[in-house]
Amino acid sequence: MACGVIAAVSFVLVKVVGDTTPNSTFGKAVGIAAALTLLIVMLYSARRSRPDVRRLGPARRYLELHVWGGALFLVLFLVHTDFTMPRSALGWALWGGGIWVVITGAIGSLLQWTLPQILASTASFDVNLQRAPELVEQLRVRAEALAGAADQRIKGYYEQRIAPEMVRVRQDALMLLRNPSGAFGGGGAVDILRKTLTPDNVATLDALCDIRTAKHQIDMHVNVQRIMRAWMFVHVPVAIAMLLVVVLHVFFTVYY
Amino acid sequence: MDSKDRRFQKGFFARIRFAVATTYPATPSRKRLYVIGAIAGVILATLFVVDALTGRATMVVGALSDSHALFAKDCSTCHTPVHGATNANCQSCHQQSSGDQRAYSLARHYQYKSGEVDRAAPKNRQLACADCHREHEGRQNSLTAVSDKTCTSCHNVGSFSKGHPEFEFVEKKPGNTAHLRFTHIKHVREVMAEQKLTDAEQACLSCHVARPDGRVFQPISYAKACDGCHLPPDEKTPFIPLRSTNRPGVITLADIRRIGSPGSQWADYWNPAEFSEQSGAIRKSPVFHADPWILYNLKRLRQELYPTAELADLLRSSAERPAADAKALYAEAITTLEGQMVSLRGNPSPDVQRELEGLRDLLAQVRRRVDEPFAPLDVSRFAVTSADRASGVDDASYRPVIEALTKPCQKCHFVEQATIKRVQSDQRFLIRSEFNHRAHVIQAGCVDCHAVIPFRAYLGNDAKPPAEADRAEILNLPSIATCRSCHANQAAPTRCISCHLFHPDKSHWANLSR
Repeated sequence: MACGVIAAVSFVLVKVVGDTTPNSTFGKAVGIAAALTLLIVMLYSARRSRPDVRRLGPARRYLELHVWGGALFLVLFLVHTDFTMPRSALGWALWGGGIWVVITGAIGSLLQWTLPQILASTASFDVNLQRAPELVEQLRVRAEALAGAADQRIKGYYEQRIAPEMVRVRQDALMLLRNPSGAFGGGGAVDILRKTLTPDNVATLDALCDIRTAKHQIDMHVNVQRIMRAWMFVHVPVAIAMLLVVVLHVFFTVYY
Repeated sequence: MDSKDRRFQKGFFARIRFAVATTYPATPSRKRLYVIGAIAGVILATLFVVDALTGRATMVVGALSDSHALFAKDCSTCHTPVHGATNANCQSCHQQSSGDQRAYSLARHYQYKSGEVDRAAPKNRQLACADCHREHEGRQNSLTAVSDKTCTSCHNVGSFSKGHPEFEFVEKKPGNTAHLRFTHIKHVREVMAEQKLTDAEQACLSCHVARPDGRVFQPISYAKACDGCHLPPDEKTPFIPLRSTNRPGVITLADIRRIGSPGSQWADYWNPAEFSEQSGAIRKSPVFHADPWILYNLKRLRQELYPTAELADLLRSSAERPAADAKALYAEAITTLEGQMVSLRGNPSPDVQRELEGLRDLLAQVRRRVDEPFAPLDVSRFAVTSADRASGVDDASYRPVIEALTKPCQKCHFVEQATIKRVQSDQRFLIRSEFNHRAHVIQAGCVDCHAVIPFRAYLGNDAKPPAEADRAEILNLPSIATCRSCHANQAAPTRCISCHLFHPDKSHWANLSR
């Protein structure tokens, strides 16, 4: 951030006294700094690919470097372009790629910051994404068994309200916003039903409600992970492609 | 149980047991992301490389401007690998682009209209053509439409609207640079009355005649602007004492003929009837503009007072001229010398003829030297200074003679050191910018901008303007605020190149001076 402030201040100074176009000495220096920043930012990816080498230091440090380096890259990148729009396809590729990677990076940071907070406030466990269908199926079997042996009223309630949700993992990213806790079992029809049951049947109904809540939390984990995975596809390949285009840009600049 | 506590317990899964999977499904590889990115990058890079190799390169750097579009298929026309678009490559077509003395060089920009031909551009600011003339910005891009930012990278003046310094002539108030006694309002009144004009601006144009291109005005000419009223046929000098051995004075036409000194050939055909003598004094009537008898006698008096100021004798008036106009002074001096040589041609002496031949060769050399565009010329060589003053000469005895001799002249001219001060008949003050009167006169009248002298208040009445409101010292030129009344944001153009040129006019070396 300090580097970003320094870059902005130096830009203002040069704006007053000199040329800031990409081809000027100042513009070239900032361009080189931006390219180096891009390389440094990508060290996070390298660190992630070698988790076994502990002497490289904690990945969190690389993540911080990745995030703040990305912010610095945006400043340097815009200063290098002299805050003007590109005029060629290569320029647009670099400009569009740079902006895209930084914006998606910012969105990723936001997601990484907010989603775990939402989940941590409600979820009591973590779920392996690949095992989610298996876990849901086990919950469904368990719920079917409980409902099958339960009072007819509980069975009817299960078939109408709970069974449809137990069939498969629910893919709905917005559920995180609607009902993050997934709490189920209080109020409305369940309360009315509970008042009419014997204590043994109440325990069965509560167990069914717990199974339904657990299923909801699995759904939430799955959706969170899907969002994060989709974000990776949006962010990482573009960054890799942009790095190659930057190399080409540097070559053309030096050669011509 | 509140939500904070629930985070620290296993919840439902603490109570139930799942079947433990014997093998976890494989975590999706991050390599897939890299491969997708690499493929996309390689495809893009290939497109750009192919575009460059096929010579179009429009995807890489943008289309060339119309004027360079033909070179799009061969980058090496302009680009040298590693060195970029060099001036040498530009020079292959634009022959005046490189070399220290070329019209397009930075050195020429430094000397532009300064008259300082040996002024050097700093080495650390050498510019390539491509630094200002940006290519690859589209077919419709104008290479000469250089942005203000390019100019302000060296000239730290902000913008025209804010930061541009006030015009030098407004800030420094150069005084009576015209070296003339003149009042505008009186003259405009008289011209309007004589020509029965109703519009003051028509009176302006009767003296200020535009050049054919309409951009600026021709130098004011006595013959065209003043002769109609000034020096009428009955104009006469006072009686001026004739020169004798013990007192300074003028010499008669007959004496001038008898001496026959170089440059006095005019005396052979001058009318003696114009002179009247009376008890050791002489009067001339009529008096003409640049009257040769007056100038001849004035020169003789100056030679007695300032004997070493010889070069001043080659000029009709003083050497006060901007350094940028030095060539004009030298040209006048050469013309005078040539005239004097003509008057010696009739001398039959072989020695004189031999000397004349030598002088002709010397003058040809001098003329070639003066015509060199970058020859440094020193106008002070023509000046009359106190160092030229003769010792033991009584200035007080000369002063009345000079005053009487130049009395008709001093109605308009100033006389100092026995020399008539040079009139700046072509007063151009915005010398480093281009102003087009023709383009502006459509927008406003003369006195709308030239409003320092209050014409409107004194035309159409007989009121006498105060002396301080209408003097020759008042340049009557607008300040930058007047320009800004139109040249402001979103109105008339405010770009640097609207008024200033980076390169001098390549068609003529004279443009390097003024």
